[in-house]
Amino acid sequence: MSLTRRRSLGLLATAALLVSACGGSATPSPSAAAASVAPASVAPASAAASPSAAASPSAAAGPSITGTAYQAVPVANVATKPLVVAEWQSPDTFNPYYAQANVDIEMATPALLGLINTANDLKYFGDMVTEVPLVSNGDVVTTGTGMTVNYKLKPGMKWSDGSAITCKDVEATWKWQMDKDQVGLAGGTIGYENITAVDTSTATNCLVTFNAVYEGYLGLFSPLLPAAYIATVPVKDAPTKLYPLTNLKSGVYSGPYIPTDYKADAQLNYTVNPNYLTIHPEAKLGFPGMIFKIYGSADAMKAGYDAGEYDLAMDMNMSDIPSLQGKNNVLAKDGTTYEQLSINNATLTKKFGAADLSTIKQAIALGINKSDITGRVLGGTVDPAANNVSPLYWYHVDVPANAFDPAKANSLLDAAGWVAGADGIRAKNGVKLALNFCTTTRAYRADSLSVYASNMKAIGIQANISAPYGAVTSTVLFGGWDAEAADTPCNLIHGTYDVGMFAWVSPLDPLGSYNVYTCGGIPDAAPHNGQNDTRTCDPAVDAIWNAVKGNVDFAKVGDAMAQWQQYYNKNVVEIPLFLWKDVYLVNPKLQNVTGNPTTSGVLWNVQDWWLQP
Amino acid sequence: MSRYIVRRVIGAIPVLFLISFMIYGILLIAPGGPEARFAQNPKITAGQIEAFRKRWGLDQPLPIQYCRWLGACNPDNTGLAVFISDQGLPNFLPSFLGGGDNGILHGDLGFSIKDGRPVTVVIGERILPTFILAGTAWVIWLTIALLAGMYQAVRRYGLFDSVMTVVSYVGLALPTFWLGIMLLTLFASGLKWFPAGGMFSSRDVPIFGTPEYWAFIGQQPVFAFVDLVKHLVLPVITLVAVSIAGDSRFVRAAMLDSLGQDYVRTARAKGVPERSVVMKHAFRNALLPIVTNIGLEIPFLFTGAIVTETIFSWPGMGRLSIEATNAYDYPVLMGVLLIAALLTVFANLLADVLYALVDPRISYG
Repeated sequence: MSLTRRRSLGLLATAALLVSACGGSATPSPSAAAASVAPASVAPASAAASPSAAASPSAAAGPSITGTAYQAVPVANVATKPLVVAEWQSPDTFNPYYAQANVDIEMATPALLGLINTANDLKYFGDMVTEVPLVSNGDVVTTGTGMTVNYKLKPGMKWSDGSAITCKDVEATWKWQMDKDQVGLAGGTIGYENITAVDTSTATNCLVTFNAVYEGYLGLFSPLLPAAYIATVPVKDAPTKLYPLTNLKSGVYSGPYIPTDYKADAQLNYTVNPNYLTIHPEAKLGFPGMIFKIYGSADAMKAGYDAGEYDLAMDMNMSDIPSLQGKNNVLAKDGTTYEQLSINNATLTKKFGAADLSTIKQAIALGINKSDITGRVLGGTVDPAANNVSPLYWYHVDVPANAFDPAKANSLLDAAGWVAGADGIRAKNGVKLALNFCTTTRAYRADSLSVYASNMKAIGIQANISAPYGAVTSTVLFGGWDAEAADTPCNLIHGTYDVGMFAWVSPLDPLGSYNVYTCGGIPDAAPHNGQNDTRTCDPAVDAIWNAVKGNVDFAKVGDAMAQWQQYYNKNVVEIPLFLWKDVYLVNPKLQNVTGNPTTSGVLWNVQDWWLQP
Repeated sequence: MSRYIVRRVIGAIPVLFLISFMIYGILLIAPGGPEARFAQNPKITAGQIEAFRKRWGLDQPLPIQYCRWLGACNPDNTGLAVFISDQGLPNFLPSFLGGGDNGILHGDLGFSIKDGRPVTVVIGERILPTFILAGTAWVIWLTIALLAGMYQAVRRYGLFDSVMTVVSYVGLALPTFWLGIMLLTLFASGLKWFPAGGMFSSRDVPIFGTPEYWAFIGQQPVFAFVDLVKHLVLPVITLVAVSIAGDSRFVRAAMLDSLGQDYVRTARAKGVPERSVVMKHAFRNALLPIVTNIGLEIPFLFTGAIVTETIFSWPGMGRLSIEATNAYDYPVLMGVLLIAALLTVFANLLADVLYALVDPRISYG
């Protein structure tokens, strides 16, 4: 029974998420950023089958972050033709470290492994290491302000070119990212910049020294790059010449399927990695190769399923579910992207005063009927969310939701002195309680605007949903600091909105959200690359997030995240609306497709896939 | 004639130069840019974004960027030295004469910012697929348009003319994206008669354009041809349906004009058979505007159809154009637009040359 495991690519995850959050479209979204965080994720030992999994002593201590329950159905048939998976977007790169879109990660996933990966139940497992390094198993040791992590490589592993996988590859991957000529790393150098040394004195015990406690160490080295290969390309040329799309055969890989030919907007072919069994000896591949078929649109891809052109289609979400009616084997799994209403503290404070900020936010949260969005606008394809943290995450806690209660919202506003005028809109000291709602032109978002207007009117708040507010292009809403003028309405980074509806990725590694909620993440100050668009700034919040950042004891991290989730809902940092669905079309005969809400994606266990005869 | 052609070719050079300058300027002053992809990624620092801009020359003033793209400036130099090649001579000179090797003047279209591949490779691999799709559709719709337009003119206000007029306007009014999706839904998803997208069957045929593909054609030519035709059917129908109207109406109008001329009436009065009247007297004289129209359609054979290629997942120039636009991939966009401009200029020249062939009264001597 072959167990699975697969790359974490987590890192790269970075940008990747972006697109996913945005929804099928190629347009990047804020989610991306958050996504990037994902790197932190990655994981622990997998299930029973996985040698590393069950053996991990860590599972017993602290939160359960390892020990996946995933069990693959053993391969009982090897197909004569390759596996065909479908996408409707083209890759920009095959190197996950430069990935700016989900599709880049998806295509690299079968070919490049990380040291640690995340299973479909979000448990960490060792993909290339014998055990997930944790404080509890002695692989992670804090030393004053720093720490050491012992990544224990599996013995005997080989790259696709037959060379040995050793600690020198770990060291090279670190140095490659920190090179002064490096440009365009999607995940930046966070975490790697804290590394001061990699001990390469042994081939498999890779002792990595950090000058600070870095909670996201599980997401590093995803994927691991081959030292000998990356040395052949000057770092400054790496974006175009390392794993070049024009000659993917020149690359060196570790995953079960390695790329051979690529034609843009058409197809990417893979063949079996002859040395994959040195990494996972128990594996038995169910296909002689693999094909990524690239369609021009999601509609064409869906039609291709009916025509039997592929075995699995990806890159769809809840919006696609209605158009998949009648197709058999639609797999819809909870994702980690959440749709939210982001409330801008800065503009609300400026308009209505700091004293009433909390009251107004509470009123908005109580006045929004999430069921109108999930039920009427999205046809019941998703459920209202109480929290922005996926229930699948190990640090998720149940917190009291701000349930729909317009009467209570009215009471709060009445008590605060906001009096309804003849038009039903409240005012105080001559200031009308009017909010500028912003979102993108995506259909369900644009449709939601009228719901908000109606909900808000019921509690005496005027929702401005017409130009220049309301539905704007993604370019405007998500446009960068330099790309959009400071007074452009509905731009997140400039904070020219009151309430914004968009998607974000809540990363498995909580550290990924650090920059989204702490004072230092407010993008108003140069270099304007913070993600704290709500302008949330509270010393108590910073304290919570610093506790997350400075711990490798996951019990303490879990405690801090529990505090955060309480704070998040109580203080209406955002209004989480619903969690997205990751939707796939799957050949009914294809086995072991489980999905995976992390950046590892549905292909995380592609080595276990096989077709029933 | 040859002097005329040479004169036109020389005259086209400043036109193309001006076009390239205008396109470049419009592209780069448009809001956004390739670095916008990093805007919402907190892990990308401002320094990294700046390094990215520098790597692609986006940190330079617009004239310098254009100058580099053109090949008159050396990207490795600064100040006035930008005009000097690494060999110490003006950069615009051919490299074998001591000039530079970058830019369009030296045959270098640069690299795609999106995926890092040379623009010549990116564009080169799209030309044949687009030519196959657009060429097939063009030949079919042109043939139908010529025959239908002529017959409509000859049988003006007859049943065929009335039906074709209605059909033409319906075709003209059909949005390409709608028709394409309808065809996909009906014939690929529903009846499963034709594939939903691409230009070859993924499981059975090697990737188009690779050495394996050409070898496969040698081994199984019939299978490969049938497979290609099956993938062509739906996009070709889409293109033909929406394009036939324009040409058939044009031919009809030109023929009607010609049929009303005195020399046609004279020919009929002389007892010339109707077939000869139509083909030799009317049609040949109607050809001038038709040739002009056809000439202007030639660039389409290479620039492709954006919507149709996207709907049917055809890996051609049209799809490349829209993706390069979305990604602010300036080098690829410049390459595509320059080729389109080049083809338009020379298609006009070709049409002018053809005038002389179809109308003996015209001479460029």
